[in-house]
Amino acid sequence: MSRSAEAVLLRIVGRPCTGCGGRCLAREAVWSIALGFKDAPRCLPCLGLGLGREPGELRTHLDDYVRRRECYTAAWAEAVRLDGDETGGAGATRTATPDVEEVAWDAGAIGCGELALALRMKLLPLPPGSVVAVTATDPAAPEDVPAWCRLTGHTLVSASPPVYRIRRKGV
Amino acid sequence: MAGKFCVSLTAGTDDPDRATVAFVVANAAVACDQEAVVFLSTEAVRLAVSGAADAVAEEGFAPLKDLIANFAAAGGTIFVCSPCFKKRQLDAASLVPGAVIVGGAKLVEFMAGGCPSVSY
Repeated sequence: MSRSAEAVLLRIVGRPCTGCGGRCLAREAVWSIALGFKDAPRCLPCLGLGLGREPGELRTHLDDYVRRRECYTAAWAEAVRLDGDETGGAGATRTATPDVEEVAWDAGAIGCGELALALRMKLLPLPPGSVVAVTATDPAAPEDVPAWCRLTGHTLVSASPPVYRIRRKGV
Repeated sequence: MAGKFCVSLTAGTDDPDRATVAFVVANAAVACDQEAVVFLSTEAVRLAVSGAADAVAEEGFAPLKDLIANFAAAGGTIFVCSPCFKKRQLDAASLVPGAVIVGGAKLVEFMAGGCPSVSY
């Protein structure tokens, strides 16, 4: 188990944050693993945004969680070594800003099942709470996009055809 | 809880328009978090064989082979009518991902509790 958390860390360390595309420190990668995002590490502000928690408070909780569990000992030691003196998101000084959390996506003229499936693939990898501003010019989109949101549980924040803002549902 | 949704298709490469639209609707169902099944019977069973749909690309639609692959990748299941498949002496070892050869009981079991269906 300890080897597996460390192995996952070594595989994902250095990847950008899945949420905002910014830098993701090794310690943040370990927290991401602990939260189940082992293939999609996120920086602390994005983890906090996705879980609806204040980053500083979340950091305290995750620090405690990881240090209490032997299965993360090796991964945590390696993360501390890799990060060196950098605290970055671990210092909770960064904040996720709305403009980096809102993703714009031009779906072009695709519609019907292709649009529905593309929406699904676009939203699901994002952290909960992320907003995607979709531009979809298909003539059926004004009916289809709201229906898709009602069926899947994602929130249609606004609809001004051809732009639809959709908030990804929680975990 | 996800609902069920069945798309019944009886056309294959003999009617690419019909086959394409069936899979577009099936993709909509699976993308809307439904437990989606495409039931292939009669000529449509040919589409369950790898490579059979490769030449179908209707204007204004994604190529049929992509629609089929995307459906399976998103979690959709393709039921292939066993007697229709056997009658045509097709290769059960070359099924596309997501396809499973089934008899009537399997289809009836899936739909018996109540299942919306659209037919092509």
